[in-house]
Amino acid sequence: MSNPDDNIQDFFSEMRKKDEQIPIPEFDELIRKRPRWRKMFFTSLGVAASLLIALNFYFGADKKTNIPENELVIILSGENEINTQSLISSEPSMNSWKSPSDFLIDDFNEW
Amino acid sequence: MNKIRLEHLLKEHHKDAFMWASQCCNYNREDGKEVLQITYLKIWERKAMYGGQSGFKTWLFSVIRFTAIDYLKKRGISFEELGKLQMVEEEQQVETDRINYRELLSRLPERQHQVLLLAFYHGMTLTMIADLMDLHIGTVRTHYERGKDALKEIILKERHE
Repeated sequence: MSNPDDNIQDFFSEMRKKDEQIPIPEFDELIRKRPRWRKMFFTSLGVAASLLIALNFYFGADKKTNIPENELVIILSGENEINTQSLISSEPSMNSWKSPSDFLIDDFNEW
Repeated sequence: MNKIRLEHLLKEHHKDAFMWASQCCNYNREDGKEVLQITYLKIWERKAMYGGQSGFKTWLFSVIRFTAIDYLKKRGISFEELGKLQMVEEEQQVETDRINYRELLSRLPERQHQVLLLAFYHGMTLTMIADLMDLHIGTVRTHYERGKDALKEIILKERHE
């Protein structure tokens, strides 16, 4: 007695047989490697970043040496060049200090 | 599971995994290779982890299937379009005088197509297929029976022509 699924089983076994000819990519080729699009993305990102750094170095260095000849640059040097002491007009005195609890000493009998 | 054991298991199922990945990508081997590579990467980086609830092959095939769905979506190919197969040119030339298995299978609805491939081509049980496709066993059985009937008809028709 024949199996009703025989023709389907034959169909798939023929298909499998035919697929035996298909070359299978090496396992080691696929494992532990990033997919092509990721590799391409990171490679192009790396190239773009290095290009930006190189351009920055080139134009940055150019800017520094580009000082006009007739421009005068004054550089202050000395001990008190950034001394802000003169901005304080008066020194705090002990005579002007008032305690926050000063009012407690007031003599209420004077009222 | 340690990486040596994992690598051993992946190697053991590599051929079947590649065939399944290609079948999930319209039988396009280049896409299949890409999908399998992404799948291996997911597993290697522990983004997909085998929990041991189902067999290793069932789990691996399931990861491949979902990876293929995402991959095709990103490339703008809907899953419905999978039925309308684009045959690789070289294969079309080879198969002009023989049965074009893929083209015949592509006449089936996508679910029936995949259930039959998993059952007859990859030798999986209906329970395994239900796990893999995340479907109820009854739904899988329906796809299986209807798929078989439809394919029988297609084969018969092809023989008469």
